[in-house]
Amino acid sequence: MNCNMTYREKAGLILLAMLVLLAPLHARAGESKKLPASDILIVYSDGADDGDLENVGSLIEILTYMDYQVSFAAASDCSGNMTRFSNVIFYEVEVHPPKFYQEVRILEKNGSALLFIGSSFLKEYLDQTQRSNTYVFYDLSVGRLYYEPEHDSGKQSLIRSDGFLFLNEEGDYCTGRVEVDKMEGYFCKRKGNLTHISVNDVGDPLVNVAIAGEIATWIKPAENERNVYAQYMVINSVYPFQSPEKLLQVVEEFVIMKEPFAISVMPIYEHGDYPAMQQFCEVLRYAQGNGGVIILHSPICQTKEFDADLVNERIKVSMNYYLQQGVYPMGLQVPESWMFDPDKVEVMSRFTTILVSDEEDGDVRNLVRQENNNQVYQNKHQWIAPGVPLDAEGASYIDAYSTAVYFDMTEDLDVIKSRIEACRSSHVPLKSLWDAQHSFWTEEDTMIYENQMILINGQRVDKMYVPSEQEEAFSYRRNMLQRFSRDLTEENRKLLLAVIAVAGLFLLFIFMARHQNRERFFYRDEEEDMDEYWKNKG
Amino acid sequence: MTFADCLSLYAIVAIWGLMFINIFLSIGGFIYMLKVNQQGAHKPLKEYPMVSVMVPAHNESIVIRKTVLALLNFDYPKDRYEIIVINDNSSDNSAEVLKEIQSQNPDRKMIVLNTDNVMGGKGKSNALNIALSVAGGSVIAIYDADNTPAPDALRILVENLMDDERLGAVIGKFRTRNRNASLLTRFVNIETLAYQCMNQAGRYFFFKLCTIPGTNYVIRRSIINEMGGWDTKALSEDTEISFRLYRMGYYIKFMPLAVTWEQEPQKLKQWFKQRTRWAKGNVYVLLKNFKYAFDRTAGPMRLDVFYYALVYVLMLTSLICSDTIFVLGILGLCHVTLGGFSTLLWGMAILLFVLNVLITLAVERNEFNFESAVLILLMLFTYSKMWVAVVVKAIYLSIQDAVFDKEVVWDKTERFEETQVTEKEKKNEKRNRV
Repeated sequence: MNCNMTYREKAGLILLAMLVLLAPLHARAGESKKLPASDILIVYSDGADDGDLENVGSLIEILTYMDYQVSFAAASDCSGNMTRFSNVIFYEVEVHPPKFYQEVRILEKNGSALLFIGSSFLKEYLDQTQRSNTYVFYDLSVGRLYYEPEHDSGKQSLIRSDGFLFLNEEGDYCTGRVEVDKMEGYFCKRKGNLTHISVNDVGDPLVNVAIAGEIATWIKPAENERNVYAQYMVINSVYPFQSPEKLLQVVEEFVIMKEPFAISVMPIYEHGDYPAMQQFCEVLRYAQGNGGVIILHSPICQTKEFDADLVNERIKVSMNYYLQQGVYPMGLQVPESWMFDPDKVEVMSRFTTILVSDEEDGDVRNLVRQENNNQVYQNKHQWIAPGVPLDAEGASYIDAYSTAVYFDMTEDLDVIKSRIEACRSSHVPLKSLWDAQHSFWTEEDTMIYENQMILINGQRVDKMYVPSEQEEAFSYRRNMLQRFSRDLTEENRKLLLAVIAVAGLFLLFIFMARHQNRERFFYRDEEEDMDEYWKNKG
Repeated sequence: MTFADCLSLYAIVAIWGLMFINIFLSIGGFIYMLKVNQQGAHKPLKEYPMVSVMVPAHNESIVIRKTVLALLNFDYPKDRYEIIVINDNSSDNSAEVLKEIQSQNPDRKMIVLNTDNVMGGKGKSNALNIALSVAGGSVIAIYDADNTPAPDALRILVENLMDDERLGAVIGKFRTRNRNASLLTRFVNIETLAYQCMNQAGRYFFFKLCTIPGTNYVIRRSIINEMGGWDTKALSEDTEISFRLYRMGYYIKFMPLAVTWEQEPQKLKQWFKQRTRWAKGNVYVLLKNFKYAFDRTAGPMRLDVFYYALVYVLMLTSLICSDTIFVLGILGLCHVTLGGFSTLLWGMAILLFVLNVLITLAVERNEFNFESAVLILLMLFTYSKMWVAVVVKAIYLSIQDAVFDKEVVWDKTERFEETQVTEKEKKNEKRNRV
């Protein structure tokens, strides 16, 4: 450094250094300002752990299924941005900027609907706003939730928390019961614009069902304002090589019981015209003509990085095969995590109807960390979420959004029948996907279903089932190599026999040679001859 | 069908194809061995022809004494053979050793030709051509400088040659003298018995085809003269001369009872150098003679050309393919979806390979034992892979020679002092084997 710098130069340099050092802070502040406007804001703790992020992910999913635009971020990123939101959910905000509660207080005074999930942040907030006398707090970690998703259903579940807080003032609305030791509190209570859900474990099925219902009520608190959504029975993830006979039996059960159903089929990429595929599609066409809706399962991505172009290509090929066989898929079935990943959201954007499966594919926690809103909302999908089973029959108890009850076609028919019965008797209505509108497009095909009409590439097609004749002498068009590979399996047995024969012959040869050698008939020992020679040679 | 499937299919077909060819030859070879042992090797002659035993030697002082003494000890009529040692541009004391033997055996006809770097030092073919110019025999016998032939070897070879006018040459069997020196020499010993002895026997039994092994063989002088001597461009002068014999309408007989013992490379470096030279020589001969594969007038040599082509092209590529698939499969980089492609196929191939080689050991004394079976298995995963490396290098060098128009250079195989094994040690070893 030049030591002969003037005072002004030094001051300039220091200022420049300060600007450089402070730049990340500015950038962060800039980022936090980007928190997009939406219907609901979810605030979670700074440095939230994986468990909390997973629960936040579940909340985002629930709200997305309810068709709400959601923004979500850690408390630091939300600070200074919350006044734009009229509905804010605080999920266990244990770590937050100082005086964060003052911002929350402003929201409360402004009349924003505030929902506190869990106890820790609400306790701090009430303490900071001099309302410590408005609650009771039990510093215990285990309790029991009693909740009735439907009248007289009486479900209960063991729950864990870092303490239980219950508001002790009379509320405008109160539901559920939580027992902590011998004390008793509520599951959800509303007092003015402040609502509290005393349990935060969204991963627990009963809590998940209860929270879904209470969030729906929280957003639309007026009676009769809340919509009741249906459940859909879906025969899940059927592969083309599975038994068409068994599939037909399962389909027949739904047809006989006159209940609507859907079948999610796995994609195929080649040999769509093979007889096995034709038989499979024959059953699908029969199902389609008798109240069944076909849904295409998304391609299973085996690669480390998700390649949206490849997946779109696979969907295109698969859709084309099914359409050629007269099977008209109405939507796409995807794993839960897809809604958080921008690449996967892009793939889904081509479909109106999205059926969400309960399979795991991707780390929701990381995706929650990376994103700050449910981008997928912009696609305006018609969501059918996976139902949350609370008993062996697996019927859905959620009516806050559409749900799917999944059936495994390999199950025993009696089990399937009893599950259909359970769905029938559920308070959540059963509905047919044929009553909704659907559409999709690929690079080759477009499908629109509205007013009970299916249009494929602009042409109307009929879903009525007409039996087709199977081609008896189907040409597999196998080339020489493929023929050979098929023959290889068949020839292996012959080869094995040949090897046994040759091995036997060789063993016989070995036995003969050893026998003759022992008799000194076969060879004199050449080495001994040489030894003898060199010995004589001295 | 994926690319890996295609490679696998090719490897399966090629390996099993070669396997059945070997099984076929082994069966023929076994029957031939049995027949020869029952009939005996000797066919006494009224008059034994004059034989010139030629020994090319370059810096062979370590082994030459033993070799020449063994040659002098032939039970062939002493006045009916001469020994010509071509001390080819040697820088060691070979000349002194040979002179000493000469002086110790004044009654024997032994010619020592000491060449300098002007005349000699140009490889085995050149040395043999020099020896031919002074040879007086109507039959030429060739022995390498590291050989110790059995006393009756020459007589057996000559008697068989003279028994049939259609025979151009008769070759004997060579065994590994230093087989217990290292793991490598044990492998070489098994390879020699299985692939240079049993295969020769099988090929001779079925097709009257043999390849001259470079040592322990006799050939008619008239044929050599007609050929114009040995091809100095050929590194495998033995294979080259075999092909020329076939084209001239003669055939070559394999006589396994004429035995010579030779020293094999004990170290990997020497082995690699020697085998690369052989492979390079064979590639040269194959390229030179491949045109005859499609020439109907070429007679039985067409089969031999195909045989060499199969070994050097089919076997090499199939081994590379199967090994590549194996390695990529382990690394999870490729997956074979071929129907019927299973471990059983490889298991059966390995079983046949082991049994096939074991047959060849079974006909020898002191070779057939559990240790050999284990060695064969070990060979499959080590020695055969080394063979791939040898051939790949030989092909690379051949291309390099062709592109840069390089002269053929003879890489001499380094010799080793052999440790004397005491009688007691030998007996112990034999007892253990029994």
